[in-house]
Amino acid sequence: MEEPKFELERLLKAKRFEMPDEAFWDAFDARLKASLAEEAQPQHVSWKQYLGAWLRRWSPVAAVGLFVFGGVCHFSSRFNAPHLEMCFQPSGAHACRSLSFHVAPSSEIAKSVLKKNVALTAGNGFTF
Amino acid sequence: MVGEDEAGKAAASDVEDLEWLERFKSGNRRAFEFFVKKYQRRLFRVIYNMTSSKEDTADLLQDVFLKAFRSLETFRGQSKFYTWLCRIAINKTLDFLDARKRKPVYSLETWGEGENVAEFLMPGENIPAADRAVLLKELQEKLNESLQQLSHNHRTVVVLFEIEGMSHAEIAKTLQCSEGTVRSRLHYAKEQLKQSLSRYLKGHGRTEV
Repeated sequence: MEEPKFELERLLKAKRFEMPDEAFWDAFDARLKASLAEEAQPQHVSWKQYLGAWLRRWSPVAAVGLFVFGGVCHFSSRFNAPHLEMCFQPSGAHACRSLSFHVAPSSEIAKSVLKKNVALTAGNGFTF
Repeated sequence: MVGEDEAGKAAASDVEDLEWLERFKSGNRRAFEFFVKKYQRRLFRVIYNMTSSKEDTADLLQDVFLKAFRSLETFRGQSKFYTWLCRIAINKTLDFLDARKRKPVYSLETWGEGENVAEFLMPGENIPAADRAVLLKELQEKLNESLQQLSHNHRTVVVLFEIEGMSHAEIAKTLQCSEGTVRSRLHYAKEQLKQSLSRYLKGHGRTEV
């Protein structure tokens, strides 16, 4: 008997006939539905897991925020608030002999408060 | 005319997908069943012809739909829905094949004595039923063996183009490569298949008497 010959493309197209029966699809659908239902269920999350997840998610943002906040505080205090510099001298009855103040020109109120306080303590051996 | 008709059907199908997608995104999780019903057989064919195992295909297909269910919210409609789904299936299958160390165990849906296959492959041939069944079984085994000898990338292109009937452009989008790459892989893969199946192909090998 002479064997029939085929076109390669037709042979490959014949692979489309390899399809499982309906019983397979019924079982498949049932299994998939169960998995999807499980997937759709809201998962019970303990407060520890929730906190952990929240920290993992937001800690980089919080770190950047703190860094920026710290920077702003640092520079604003440097330029606007009075800066107190104490010079310690080892000799004499008082450990602290002199105080020097660098007050930002814009901070007139701070300057006046400092002058008042220093005037009160000037008689105690401090130089101003 | 036929081409226009096909294009019209494809466009209607895409619109339908987008409508169901909107339903899913608006909270109707059962809308996903529409996609399962519509595409499960096509995806089965793709995965099955790459793995040649019915059991592995069933497991992978489950994984594909679960992954799609989880990621559907992120689908922006930049490609066709089936292209997106098929990409998930291909990636899952390729990962599976790369990880599969053991020799593949074929678990095939048999062509058996199905009249449809015989009529499709041998129209008008007057072959006794018993001989026909033997020939079909042998042919199917040899065909699967030859497909499995191809590299994963070459097999993927053959499955998508020749079995699934996707265009070069669709395959290129699915595999995220150029059309030229698709054409060259297809050409090489078919040359390989022609060599290993020469005995059964027209214009190749000798005729047994």
